[in-house]
Order: sequence, then C-alpha cells, then structure tokens
Amino acid sequence: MGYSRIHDWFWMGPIAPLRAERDPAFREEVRRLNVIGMRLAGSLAVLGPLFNIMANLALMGKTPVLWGAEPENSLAIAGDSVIILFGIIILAASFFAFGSRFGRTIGSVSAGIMFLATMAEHISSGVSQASPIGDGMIFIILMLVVSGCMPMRLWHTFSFGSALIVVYFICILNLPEVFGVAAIDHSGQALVFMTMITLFSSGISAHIYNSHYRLWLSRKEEESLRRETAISEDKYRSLFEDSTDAIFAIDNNSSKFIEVNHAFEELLNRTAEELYDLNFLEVIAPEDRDMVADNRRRRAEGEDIPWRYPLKVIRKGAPEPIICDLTVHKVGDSRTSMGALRDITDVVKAKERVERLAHIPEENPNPVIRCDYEGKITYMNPSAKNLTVKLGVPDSSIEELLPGDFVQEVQRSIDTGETIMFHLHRTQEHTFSITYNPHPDAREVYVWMMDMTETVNAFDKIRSYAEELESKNREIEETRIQLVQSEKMAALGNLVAGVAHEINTPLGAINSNVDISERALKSINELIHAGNCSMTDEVRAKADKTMAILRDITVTMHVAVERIVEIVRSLRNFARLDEAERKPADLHEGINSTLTLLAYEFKNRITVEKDYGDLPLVDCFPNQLNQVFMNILVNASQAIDSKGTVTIRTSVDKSAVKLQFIDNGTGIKKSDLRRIYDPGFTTKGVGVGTGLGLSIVYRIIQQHNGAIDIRSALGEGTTVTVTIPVAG
Amino acid sequence: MKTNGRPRILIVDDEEMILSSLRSFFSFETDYEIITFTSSQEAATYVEKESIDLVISDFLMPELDGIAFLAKVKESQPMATRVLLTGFADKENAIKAINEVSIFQYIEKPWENTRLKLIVENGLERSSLLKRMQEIAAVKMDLIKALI
Repeated sequence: MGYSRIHDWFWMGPIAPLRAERDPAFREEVRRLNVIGMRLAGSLAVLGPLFNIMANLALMGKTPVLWGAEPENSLAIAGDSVIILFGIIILAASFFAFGSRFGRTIGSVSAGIMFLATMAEHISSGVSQASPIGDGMIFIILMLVVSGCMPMRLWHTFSFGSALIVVYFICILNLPEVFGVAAIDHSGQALVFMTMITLFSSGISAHIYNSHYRLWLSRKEEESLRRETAISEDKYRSLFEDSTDAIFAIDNNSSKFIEVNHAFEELLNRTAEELYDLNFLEVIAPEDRDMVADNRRRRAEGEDIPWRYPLKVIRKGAPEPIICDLTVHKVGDSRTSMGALRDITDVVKAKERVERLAHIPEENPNPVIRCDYEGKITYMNPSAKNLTVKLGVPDSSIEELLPGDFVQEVQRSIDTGETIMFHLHRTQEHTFSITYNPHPDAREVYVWMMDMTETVNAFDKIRSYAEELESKNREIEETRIQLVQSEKMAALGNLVAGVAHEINTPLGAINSNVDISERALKSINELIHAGNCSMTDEVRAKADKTMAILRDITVTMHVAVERIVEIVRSLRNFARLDEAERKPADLHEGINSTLTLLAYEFKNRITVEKDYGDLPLVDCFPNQLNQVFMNILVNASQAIDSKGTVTIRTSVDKSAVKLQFIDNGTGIKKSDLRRIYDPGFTTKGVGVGTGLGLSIVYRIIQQHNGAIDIRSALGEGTTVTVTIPVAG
Repeated sequence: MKTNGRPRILIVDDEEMILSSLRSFFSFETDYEIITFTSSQEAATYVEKESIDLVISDFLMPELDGIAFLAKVKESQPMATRVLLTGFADKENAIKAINEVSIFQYIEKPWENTRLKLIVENGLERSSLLKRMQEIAAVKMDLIKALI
C-alpha cells in the first residue's frame, strides 16, 4: 500500500479510496478542490467506528468501575461483543463497499443490530427505563454513517445530528435521572460522546463526498452532452460554404436557386446573384433536362428514384457541358430541395481512356499478363493464352514460362512504382524480354513479354562468329609469328650454309696444309736425325731450333683451325637446315652446339656446368629444339649481370627426357611470371629482346607434346625445366 | 688402260687452294699420279680421253656441278671410284647425289687427311678389283669366242 493510498484514507475518509479506485479522475478532482472541512470530516469518519469499538471494549471490561453499577452479566458482555463485531463490519463496509447498495444494506443492518444489542444489554443490566432515548440517538447517529450515500440534504443531516448531540450532551452532564442512570462515569461517557461526534462527522463527510461526486458526474455528463451537440448551425453553415462539393438549394415551385455555395459558383462559372435569377433546369444540358424534370416529378409522386445520378451541366464559357454527379439531399422539405454536384468529367474521361487502354493488351500480338502483388495472375491476353498452347506448356500455366524472380520483380516494380524494362529471361527453348509496368493504384503489374528467341539466337550466332573470328585472328597472328620465326631460321640456315661453304673451302685447305706441314716437319726431323745425314752439328742445331719454332707454330695453327672448324660445325648443326623434318636426334649435341655459338656471350663471365644424364635419341625437330635451347640460354645469360653459373642437367624418366637449365641470375618478378609466355611481353630494353622468345619456346614445346615449367625467385635465379617425350 | 702402274687420281675443284693442298698431300704421302682441274668442264673432257682410277670432285662448281660431272665420269669410266668432297652443308643433296651417281664416298670440308687417304686407298682397291674383274670377264669372253 503506497503512501498516497494511506494519505487518501486518512484525509478523505473511508469513501475516498473506494471512489478513487473506481474513478481516478474523481480522486484528482477531490485533491484539486482540497476542501479542508471535507478532509477533517473524512478523517473523523475513520475514527468514528474506531472510537465506538474502543468505547465498547472499555465498557465491556470496566463496567462496574466506570458505571458504578453492578457487575455485568454474561448477556451484557455478549451484547458488547456483538456491538464491537458489527462496528468492525460497518467500518469494513464503509471502507470497501461504501456508496454501493450492498454497502448501504450491510451498514444499515449492522447499525440495527448494534442498536438492538445495546438495547438488550441495557435492559438486562437494569438501565432499560432510561436508555431507550440515548440508545435511540446512538442508532440514529449510526444510521447517519450509513446514510452518507442517501439522497438526504446536507443541511438536514447537519442540523438534525447537531441537535441530537446537544440533547445527548445535556442529558449526560446534567440530567442523569432522565436516563435513569444512578451514577455517571464521565470518562466512559466522554468516550461514548466522542464516538457520537465522530460517527456524526463521518456522516457529514459522506454527504460532502457524495454531493461532490454527483456534482462532478453531472458536470462530466454535461460536457459530453455539449460535445455531442457541438456541431451547431454555424458549423453547418461553414461546412456548406467550404465544401468542395457544389451544393445548392432550389425552390420547389419556381425551380429557382435560393442558396448556392462557393464551389457551386465556381463549378458553373457564375456568381450567386446570376444564379438566383436562373431556373435549375436552365443550367442543365438540354439533352438531360427532360430526364431531370421527369425524375423530380416522379420523386414528388413518391416513386423510388435514385438519390444519385450523373447528368451534364452547362458551365458558362465552356465549349461543352461538363459531366457531374448529382446527389439529391434528403434534408429538403416541401418548399425546398437541396442537392450537390461533383465534377466527374475527368474521372469519366480517365475511365474511358482506361477502358480504351485496357483493349490494347487484348490486341497486343505479344503475350501480356497482369498480376497482383503476390504474383497471382489476374489477366492473360489472347496471345499469352495462345503461347502456352503453342509451346505445349502443361495445364496451360504461363507460370512455367516466367523467370524465377518473377514475384520479387513484380513486388519491386509495385513498391518503387518504376517500370522494369527488358529483363531477358531464357526458358529451355525460348528467350523472352520481360517488362514490368506497375499500376500503383491497383497494386497490380502489367507484364509485357516479347519473344526474343530468334533475335537472341541471331545474336548468339553473331557472338560465336565473333569469337571464332577472334580465335582465328589469334591463330593467324601466332602463325605469322611462327612464319616470321621460321623464315628467320631459314634465312639464318641459308646464311650459315653459304658462310659454311665459303669458309669450309679455305678452311679445308688450311686444315689440310697444317696437317701436311706437321707431316713434313716430322719427315724432315727424321731425315736430319737419320744416321746417314751428313750435316755438321752446328747446322743440325740451327735446323733443330728452326724446326722447333715451325712445330710450335704448326701446333698453334692446328688448334686455331680446330676451333674454326668447331664453330662452323656448330653453326651448321644449329641451323640444321637439312633436318627440317622430325627425326631422332641427340639433344646433347644440340645443347653443345648452342653453347658453342654462345661462347662469346658466356666467355669469362658464365661458368657452364654440364650434368648430363644418359639420354636416348629423341624424336623431334632438332633445329626447333635448338632454338628452344638458344632462347633459354640467352635468357639465362642476360639474367646474369656479372658472373654466374648456368647448370644444365639432363635426365630421362620413363618415356620423357627432362632438361633443366638453372641460372643464378636476377630471377623473374612474380607479377611477370604469369605473362612470360605472352607474345610481345618483355622486360628487357628495346633492342635487347623481342618479347617473342618464350612464346616461341612454348609453342615449339607444345608441338613436341612436351611441357615447360619456369620457376623463379627474385634475386635467386631461375630454373627452366623442359620435358619432351622420347617418342615425340 | 693403266699407263705406268701408278694409280691415277683426278681432282676437280674450282678453288686452286684445295687442289694445291691435296696435290701436296698426295705427292708427300703417296706415289699417285695426281691430275687436277679447276674447271669441271675441262675435267669432263679429259675423262673422256684419259683413263683414271679415282675422281675427287667438289660439289658446287660454276660450269658443271659435282653431280653432273660425276655422272659424266660414271658414263665414260664406270670403273673409276667417285668421291664427293664438299663444303656445302646440305646433306639431302649429298644423299641425292650418292643415289643418282652412286658415289663411293662423301667427304665434308674441312676434311682430315688421314681419313681422306684411307678412303682413297680403299677406292683405288675397289677400282682395281673392278678392273680385274672386267679383264677376267673379257678373257672369259675371248675363250668362249675361241671355243665357238
């Protein structure tokens, strides 16, 4: 129980919580009024029944002392107990059921029982001859408590109660004999008196509360009544004036306007003064006049004519009559008729247009369907119906032909109010262009389908042609590079052959002559040192010295010639113009020839480490593979800035030979590694590389059904692994 | 046809230096009679009249190339062994030549003298064997004729 509840109990008496519980608005009202007298009365009303109980409790226990009478008998104790009990009941009733019929009944009955109990007690205790008057007053005051809700005027309660208290007071103090009480105990009577006072004020309090509540209730009722009747006549007037409907009143006899609103003036483009001179029929289009007159006559005769119908009205200055909706108001009496016109020209025209438009899908040769927000189809034009039949869709359900996101698209179109154009949708055999055209009003979407199958097929065909063309172009470009390369190789081959031939003749002569010289020197030496040689020792010594010089020179010449022979052989071997067809070849020979040709490139800079395995002859185009070796080895050489090593490792594994070229050069950047085979990709400066090397290598190895793998780490070097099947 | 028992070797090359070197080598190492021509045309004319045991010919020559020349040699002196000595790197053509004029050996320039000498010795042996066979056959024919 919160503070406010205790507060209410204390200040407002037993009635307050009950009322407050039922009607918080009233509780607020009481608080707002803050009537001090009422609060005082309320608090006393709580104390009233309490004091009564306390008084009886006191009397019950101390009667002999207080009253100076004989000790109470058991009957008197029972009477007091009953009084206490019903005092509690009254208290409870006033707390919990005050103001209700039930509370009132309980209170009244309890008061009656208390009175009877008091009477019985007094009679049994020998004071019966005097107590009826006092007891009667106690009963009346008790009744006052209960009568808080009775329709008794406050003034009556107050004066009646006051008179009774005064009488009782006088009786107790000065006229003990009136009551037949032998000795009066003042303190006991004071308690009884206080009980009287409090019970009395409780009644007053109840009255005040009741009257306040009634007043409050009636005020509230009045307010609501006022609200109900709030639309007064002037409001009707303003409603009439401000209405957007054109309202008018005519005299039934003359059919002349007697009242028109502003909207009516605007509708007919005439002032009220102009209109008051006109007959109602005069503003109606001639073709509708008979119909209106007829309707009015028939309604007057009591026929059931529609209260609302369309008619054409002449608007001043307008080329043609406007179409209006006439509503005849039932408020008219025998003298006047009222009605309202609403311009529905636009609506009628829009409706006509919509109807006209509605025919368009019907005649559209393409399938058109209409569906609601849930994607449920509400309309299909004949073409859409035919389509399902034509395509043999089961159950003629066009849903089969719609895209999977159909409902989402429909909803998107409705939600955004935007037309979604040309969504391509492919079924198994057909391609449709689908356009979603929303109708915001109807929450529906027109779905326009266009069979694009032929067009899309044509496009597909064009695209595939274009792709083919592109691939052919690529092929041509590759072939061109290949051709250029093979032409280059052929030219080189021819050159090498020519050079070799030209060199080989003098080389052959020199080579042969060096050999002859050696033989001749040997022969001369034998002759000089033969036993029969008649030569002085001095001459022989001189001859020996000259011979030694000649021998040294010849040896040097021999070595020099050998080298030229080797270079020319390598050149011829590398070009291998005579070996343009596939044949078994020794790959080591190819690598070695290439290395010989690269001797200048490698000299004093790059150490070549050969880790050759035992390779079988490989079925290949030898001159092409020589190009591969040349490209890889040139790359390795260029990757090595100053000094480095190129390791060539060969091995055979099952049916393929594996050739590894390992350099410890600068390596290849990861981003470049992906592009190294692309024709035209080079990181070398202009004039150093063509960017074709590895693309040619790649193609040659592909032609040999082989594989190339390039692994590289920047700063560590590159390993190129070429695998070529032995059988080609 | 043998003149004085020394094998006769005909060498044809448009380059004098080759001829000179070969002449020097054979005269130093052997007692063969070496006849040399820088013109294959002249050599061909010579072969028609004079007997030889072995021909060494270059391949590429201005007037008559090695194949055509050797063909003429084959025609006039089929017993003579034919050797092609070429600086040209085209083996295919060489093979063609071997097949067309059935040469005994094919040597590439630059050559090794030792090997050349061996080839020439073998060629001469072959040539003399062929000649012997022909003589025997001729004797046989005479005997048969006499018998008839």
